[in-house]
Amino acid sequence: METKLTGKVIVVGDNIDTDQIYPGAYLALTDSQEIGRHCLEGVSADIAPNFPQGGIVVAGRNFGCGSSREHAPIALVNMGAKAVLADSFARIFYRNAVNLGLLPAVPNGRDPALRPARRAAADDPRGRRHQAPDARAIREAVSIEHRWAKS
Amino acid sequence: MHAIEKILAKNSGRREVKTGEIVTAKVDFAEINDLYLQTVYSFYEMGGEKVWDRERCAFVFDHYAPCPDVKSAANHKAMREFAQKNGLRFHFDTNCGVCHQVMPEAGVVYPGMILVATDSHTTTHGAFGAMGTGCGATDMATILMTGEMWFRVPEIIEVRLEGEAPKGVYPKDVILAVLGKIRADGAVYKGIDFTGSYVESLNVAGRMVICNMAVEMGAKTAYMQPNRDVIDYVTARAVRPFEIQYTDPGYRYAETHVFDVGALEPELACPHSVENVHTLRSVIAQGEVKLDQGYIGSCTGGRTEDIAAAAQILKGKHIPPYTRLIVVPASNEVMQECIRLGHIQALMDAGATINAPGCAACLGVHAGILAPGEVCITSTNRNFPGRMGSKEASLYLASPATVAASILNGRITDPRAYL
Repeated sequence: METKLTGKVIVVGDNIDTDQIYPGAYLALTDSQEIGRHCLEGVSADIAPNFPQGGIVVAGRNFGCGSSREHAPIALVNMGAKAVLADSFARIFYRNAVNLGLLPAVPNGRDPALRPARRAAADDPRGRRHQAPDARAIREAVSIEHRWAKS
Repeated sequence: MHAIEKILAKNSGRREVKTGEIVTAKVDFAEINDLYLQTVYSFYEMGGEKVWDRERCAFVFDHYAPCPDVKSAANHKAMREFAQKNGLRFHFDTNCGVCHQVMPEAGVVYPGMILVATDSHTTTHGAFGAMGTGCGATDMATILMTGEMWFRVPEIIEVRLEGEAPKGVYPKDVILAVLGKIRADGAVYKGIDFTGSYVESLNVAGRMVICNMAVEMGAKTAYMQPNRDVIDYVTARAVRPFEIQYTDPGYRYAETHVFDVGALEPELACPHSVENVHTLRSVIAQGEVKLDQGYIGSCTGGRTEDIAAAAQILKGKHIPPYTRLIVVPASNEVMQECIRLGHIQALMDAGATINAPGCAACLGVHAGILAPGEVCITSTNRNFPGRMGSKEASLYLASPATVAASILNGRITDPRAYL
């Protein structure tokens, strides 16, 4: 198994729920390309249009909490994400991601290049730690290497 | 073994199971809600032809009941055709209500069973001594094909709720207090067993409120040992014989959290996180919170008991101008009972809008969507950004009594003044 992952990243905060990953207003959509265009719209509508193919979403704890909607990993895959790295995942999201071939991983070490972006996500200007910062994160995305434990 | 483990062992044909083991277990009932046409796509994509058992799976059309737009109507049409083609014994169309209410009413939920549904709030059915858990479309498609799913045997946390609730403290307040302590990820992948004297004497509706929100702590499933109320309820309704499972004496929980329910107060989960829980008193002390909308409904707070609590406070009064109160009974049965008891009349006289049974605005798809900048107090389960419409709106989660007292004043208000 590949143990090193490289790509552009977007960093989001803690408790990014599936409503933020894929807002309820679009749940009736069934076309996966169209679903991908609304990915993370609950965080910022600027993310999906600017997301690089093969990019990585880096998150804090409890990524994918809330609704069981499989639209969330469908949206991430079709937005072009190849992996989500988080401190922890909500259970149903984790299963759904694996089923769809989206890698959900809890890395055993973090690239130092990620630290400033993670600090920015934690210090959301509105003081809402569970929410991600705005789309600045994607514009400032950097290429990084990531390692995680084999399991 | 714990009762949850005994259910998993029984359904996977084993004498015992251990925490962390992966087992493949038979699913006693599978439910697909109307957000999940993908289940049908995945079923055919993986080579499915007919569902494994036409008696043991059903669609519930609740999130879009009745349909707000052409897309959801087309999805219903496709799912309805799938259900008809497979000759499903149970079908819950847009005239029924929220899945977690209509399934127990229809008798497909009973102690000792495994229930899997494409809905995170399937933890609700721990209230009946069942193992309920949510899944996505792909997992559900495999269940429809095989009747089985793989499960990791979860660690089990005990949440012991002792004592009697003071006046004005409802099951919703109790679970919010628990959530505030255990946090939104405190039970990820785990089962929560709610025990203690409060649970032992709690009615069916109250048990459902508490087990429902176990998933807001990340729980895979919830459990409560059935009491007399539950046994009476399921005995009158269950469509097949059932066996109650009991946790062995001396079972060692992964963690135990003890709450003195007698010392609790009305609670609120403040914007924009379920774990942002504060006592109502402390929120009011920090300043007035003006409201645009009150909402009573959902699989958490839309039962007869919830609507009755609101009607009791609002009877003979009227909500102020420029505010609105939306009431969505959890099911057709609930709505009819509330009509018979006069609650619907009292609420309509007080200025409430009554909507058809279903999930409605709880998940922000229709029937009570919020505009940017609006503030809503709600008896539902999630206050995530954008959950009820605009992500610039704010949601406070509260008991139905707190919702009623608050919207009556146009600002967050302690219900105890009205009881």
